[in-house]
Amino acid sequence: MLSSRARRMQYQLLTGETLELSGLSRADMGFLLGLMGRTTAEEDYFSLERSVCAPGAYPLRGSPRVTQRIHDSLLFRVAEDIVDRAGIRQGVVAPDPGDRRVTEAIVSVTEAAKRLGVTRSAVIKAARAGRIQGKKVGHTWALLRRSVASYRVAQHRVEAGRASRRA
Amino acid sequence: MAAPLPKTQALSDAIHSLVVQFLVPVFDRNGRAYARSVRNRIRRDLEGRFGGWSLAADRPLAGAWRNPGSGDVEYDESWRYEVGIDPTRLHELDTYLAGLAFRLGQKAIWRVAYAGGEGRVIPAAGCMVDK
Repeated sequence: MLSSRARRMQYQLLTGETLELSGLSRADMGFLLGLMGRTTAEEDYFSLERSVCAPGAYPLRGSPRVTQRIHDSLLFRVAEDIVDRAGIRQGVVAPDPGDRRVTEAIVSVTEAAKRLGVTRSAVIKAARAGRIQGKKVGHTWALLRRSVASYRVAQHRVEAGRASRRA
Repeated sequence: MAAPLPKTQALSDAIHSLVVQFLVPVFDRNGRAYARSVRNRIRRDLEGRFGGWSLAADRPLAGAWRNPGSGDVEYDESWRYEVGIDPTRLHELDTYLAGLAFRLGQKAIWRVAYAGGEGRVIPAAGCMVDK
């Protein structure tokens, strides 16, 4: 879904198309990360959908309606895709035949800490040092699930090495 | 950038624009969710034909109705969409909604009409509904 390659943020839509996110502002990225956080927290699809396309929603930028221009905008396309993934998981939207499998590629610091069995500050330290891949937008870290998983494997190896040295 | 409309013209446009709401089911008649592409096509149609759309309620409208065939009470949920159109184009919208009902395998797409301060839900003209 969201990936960080050579300091560039990209988003892969359910259709498989990859979008470059560098054109988005910090506020836009903050909105998308917030939306991802809400989907991770299993917020109701209908309320997520309202946040994307109801009057007053951030991606509408003050417009009372979703127009072609808004629908084609990078922000709206990514936001709608994030919400669609939640809708598919919750069974209120059906995927299209060619859609990729719905998986969450991003985890929060709290979730990563829980998975790794370490403190939040240890996760942030690992992310700052580049041992866990991710990106900080504002005050929020978006960590790649894949990277958290491989860090966990590395952590297990280190612990196994320590245990064998002690023995 | 286009020059702003004169105030009188903008006001006249606002007065002559009709806000129409209609209900698009979330699930098909077998209770299965519609595919993303189906929903996207509706939205693209509304943008292309009527300039845009918005969702008019916090949640889909939940409704119950008695199936005349089985006699069972069935439940459904529908998004309430809203478009702003010139009143002379209402027939065009109805024709579109009748086609949409056919495409979605629904008997009708219901339009929300406000009369005397109270809202009524009526089938869009052209939709085939059991009397």
